[in-house]
Amino acid sequence: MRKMSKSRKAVSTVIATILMIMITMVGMTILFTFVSIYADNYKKGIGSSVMESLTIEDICLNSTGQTYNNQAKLWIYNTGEISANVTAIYVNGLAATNGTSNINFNINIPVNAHVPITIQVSAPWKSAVSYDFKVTTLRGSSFENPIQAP
Amino acid sequence: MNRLVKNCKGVAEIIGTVMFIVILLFFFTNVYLWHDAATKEMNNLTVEKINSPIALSLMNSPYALNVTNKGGEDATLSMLWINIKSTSPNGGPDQLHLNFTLNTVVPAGGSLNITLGTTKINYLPGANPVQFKVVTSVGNSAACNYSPP
Repeated sequence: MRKMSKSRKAVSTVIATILMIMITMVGMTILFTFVSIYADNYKKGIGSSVMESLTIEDICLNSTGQTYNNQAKLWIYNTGEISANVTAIYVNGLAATNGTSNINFNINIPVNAHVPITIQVSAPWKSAVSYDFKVTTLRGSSFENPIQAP
Repeated sequence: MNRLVKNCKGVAEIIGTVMFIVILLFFFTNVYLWHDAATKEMNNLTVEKINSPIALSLMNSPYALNVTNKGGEDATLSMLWINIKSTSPNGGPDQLHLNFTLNTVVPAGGSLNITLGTTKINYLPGANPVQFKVVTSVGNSAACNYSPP
């Protein structure tokens, strides 16, 4: 027994095996966590973009009396399966602001909700001119509605 | 052959690789199936939208909007928009945009009358041209115009 406890043969092999198992376990745990988090983020994020559906149901070009100004009120209806976050609104390709020089809207639209959004553009609207309104969401979807100013 | 069967070298690597592939396949299959289900759900919504187009017309005495479902699926009316236009012959900004919640179902192939001037829709056409627009729960819309005599 004494001889056995003093023997150092194969100690390095045992340590090496334990170390190898530990490294493998740690590695697999890291990989497992990464893939799991990636899959969850994909489902919550860009993967859910297929379930988004917004309808620009009404666009009211604002005016002061009989003269148009540069503001408009958009009513957005969420007809999709998940809530959507409106991040930007474009008019004829140019980003509109939310009235405070900020082009980032960050407005949440729950499922089946009708939400009004007031936007501002650089120049006043003009009669008989066509405007293409495009709403983009955080997940990257975009929804358009072209109108002609009355 | 006998020696090859008894030789256990490399078995751990093979088991490890197989397990690694199984775990990866589990995750990617999970994501794929979820994505497939989501796409099918939205395809159903698109099919429902295609199969429930509506048409809108205005009737007078009394004023009422007639909504016809031209499709093979029921249409749920979500909102009625009444956009009061300018009286100027050259056009101009709309005077007012009103909205009324409907939540009414028009059966497939059927039609429905929405009477104006009631407590629910407290509006009657006046001296201004008006655009009436109905939006359904799947995003379909139909519009009709009223011109004062």
